[in-house]
Amino acid sequence: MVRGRDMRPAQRLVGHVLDGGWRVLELVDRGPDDTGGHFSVGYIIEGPNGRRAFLKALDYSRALASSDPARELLKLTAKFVFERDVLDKCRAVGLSRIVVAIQAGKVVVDTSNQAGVVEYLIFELADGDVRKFVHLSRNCDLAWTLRCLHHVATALGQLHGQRIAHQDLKPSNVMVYGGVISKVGDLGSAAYQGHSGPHDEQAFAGDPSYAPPELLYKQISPDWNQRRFGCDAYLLGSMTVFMFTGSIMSSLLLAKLDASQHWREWRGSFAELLPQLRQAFGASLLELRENLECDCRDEVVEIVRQLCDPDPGQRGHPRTRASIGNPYSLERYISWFDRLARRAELARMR
Amino acid sequence: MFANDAPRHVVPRWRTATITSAAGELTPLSEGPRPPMSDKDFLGDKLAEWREQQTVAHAADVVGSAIVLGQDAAAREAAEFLVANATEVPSPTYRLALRVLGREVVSGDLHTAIRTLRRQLHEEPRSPLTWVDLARAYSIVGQATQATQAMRAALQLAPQHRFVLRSAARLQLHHRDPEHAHDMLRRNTATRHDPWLMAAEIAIAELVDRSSNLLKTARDLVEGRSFAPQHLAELASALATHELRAGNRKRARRLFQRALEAPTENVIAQAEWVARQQGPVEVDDRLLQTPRCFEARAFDHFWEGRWASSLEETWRWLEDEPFSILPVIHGSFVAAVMLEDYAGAEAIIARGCGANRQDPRLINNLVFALASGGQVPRAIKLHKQARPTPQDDDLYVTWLATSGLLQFRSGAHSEGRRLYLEAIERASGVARQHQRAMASLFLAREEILSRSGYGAAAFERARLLSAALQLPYLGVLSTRLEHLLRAQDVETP
Repeated sequence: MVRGRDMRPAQRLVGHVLDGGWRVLELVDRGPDDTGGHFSVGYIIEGPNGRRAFLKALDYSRALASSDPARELLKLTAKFVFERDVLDKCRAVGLSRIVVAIQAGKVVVDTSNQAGVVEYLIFELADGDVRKFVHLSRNCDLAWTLRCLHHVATALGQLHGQRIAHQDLKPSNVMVYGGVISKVGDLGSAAYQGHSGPHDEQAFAGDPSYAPPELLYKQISPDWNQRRFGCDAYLLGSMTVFMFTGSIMSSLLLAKLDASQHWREWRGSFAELLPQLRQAFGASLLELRENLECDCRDEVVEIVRQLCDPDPGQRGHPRTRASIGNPYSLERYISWFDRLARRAELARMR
Repeated sequence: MFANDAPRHVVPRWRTATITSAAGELTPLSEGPRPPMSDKDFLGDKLAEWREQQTVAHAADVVGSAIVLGQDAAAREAAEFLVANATEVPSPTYRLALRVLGREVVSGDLHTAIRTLRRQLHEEPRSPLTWVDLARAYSIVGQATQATQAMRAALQLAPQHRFVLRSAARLQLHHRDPEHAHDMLRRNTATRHDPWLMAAEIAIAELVDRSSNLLKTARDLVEGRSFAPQHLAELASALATHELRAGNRKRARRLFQRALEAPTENVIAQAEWVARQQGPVEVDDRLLQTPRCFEARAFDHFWEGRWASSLEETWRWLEDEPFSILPVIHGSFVAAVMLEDYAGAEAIIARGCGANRQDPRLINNLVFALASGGQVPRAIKLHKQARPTPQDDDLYVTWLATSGLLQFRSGAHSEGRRLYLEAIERASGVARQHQRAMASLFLAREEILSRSGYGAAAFERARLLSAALQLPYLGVLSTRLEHLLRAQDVETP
């Protein structure tokens, strides 16, 4: 028998009371659809003290409906356990700019079968993601934009300090709290150095819409730093472009290539395409510069130039690359964004 | 001067990197399989959120993602929203929205293009393709030194890149230094492996009367079929032209057939030229519909007597290769001689002269158009600037004939006649029959128009000389003069 969507246990949590007295109020994200993008369902929940939070419930139903349920369940569980462990690690070391889980647990929705047990993670509820707050017009709140980027860079820096690469930084994963604090969420695609993860075989585990060009074109470096931290560096640069233009760097690059050179069509190597990408990169940086009217224009363009270089071997701060250690360290960018944000905040005070 | 006089070779076209990419010239020689597609829907959530939130940022996220995912059509609604809210949308995102809607804006004039390319290089000086595009733009406006410097930068960054090398060779040809172009290609190790570079090397070797060392390798490559046909088309065409020149018509035919399996428009233009020279190849009319086949279509229309259509295609050819002198020469010939549209001839010369303003062939055609159109003093002034030495036979014959025209139009009929006759006399060899016939026709025209009394005799000589060549357009010119002569006979009691 094929079970209807509303019959799935993970979809039936409204009204349930979870450990710690959390009551499930409202379903906000129905989770897997017909084509299947993800394996979780989102809810708004409320604690005994009236505090609201976000609940991410694991949905096994799609795995069970697959042709190989055992394998799919194993993969799904592995992903969930990996994300939970990474979140535990982040919470344990107190990463302030990461959306960490407040609590993990499970709830029995249907006692008639094993799939009736729903595992979940509870997160602090944000006001929304950055798309709801960013003003893309020319009279944007520069100080807010730069402070948000400072927070995002800090979040990635904190993760990198734990040898964790986020791998899926995108506007919908930058959550805003109280209108002023930005944190990075969704560690479901992360890579943890020294720990085998469920996405290790994938060129890019995150949303390919934001992926760096080398991973879109399946050039996977054997060097962990380059593959993972280099990717995060690009994503930070791309996020910067988004905050000022509304466009992500890969869309600017690909829009300038011939259709035959789109990653879905290209049948040559990444190296063969690099000259075309470099030309598109120059044109994209110029577009960015022409769109910026702020005092910090040169510095923002320079940050993007360093972080989004289409060649991962050239990416990152030149001085960092010349020194020993992780060539993709974001420390200089954290300071840089902080300095730019402070300057803009000062100007706003006048 | 007539462009189709000279032997044609499959020298590389030089278009912008973007157009060259679209023409398929930058596709890799060895193509792997297309990457496997994920069945995940990465756009669905974003579309749902944008429909709910209706903000510029959500719409921008949809449009950007759709472009990266190759699902432009799914983002039309969001793109329409962005275009409708243009004042709130940053220009990079606005441009992406227009792209999704198929309404991309074409950039401005050449000087704007140069400024933009320079600014792009300021942002990314390591882009060899942008340096090549800048060199091309400088060539078009006639700034040879800057073009050379820009090309040098491109070569330093990507010394073995196919587009860079082919463009650099073409720049050297434009600078009248084909030997340098050939040396550059011959010495580059990439030429030994890349059929596109090999084709350029063989074509330019033919042009400078050198023997290419790569002929055997090229034959093996063409026969071996280890590359897709589109990669071998120009090479097969260059080899075919070489074989034809060596008198091996059978081999040439086979190679042209191979070249036309998946031809570039350059290959079609070459085949069209060879076919008109009674060469061993036939060009199917359908091939002429190939994109950017402007040159081949310009000549096809010309030989079919469709002068206006030929001129239209020549304008497109010139827009495609604005630094090239050949479309200017052909276009000005068609306009001034076949259409008697002297302003039209002046216009195409003016458009093309930026890159070739000192070229004596171009100046000659302009002088002819100006004098024929009644602007004699201006024509005389220009003509004085472009006097070739008698040692430069072809140009000198043309210059003498045009001097004759100027004398006629200045009222000095006997001096004009003397100069025309000297030109006809100098163009006595078999190789110059065409020049001889043309000079005779123009002398007859001037005799008839000036009512000198020598019109009939001059026409008879021109008619015989042009009839011997059996070229349709000479027949048209001859018939035109005959009508002019008859009209005068009717007028004269």
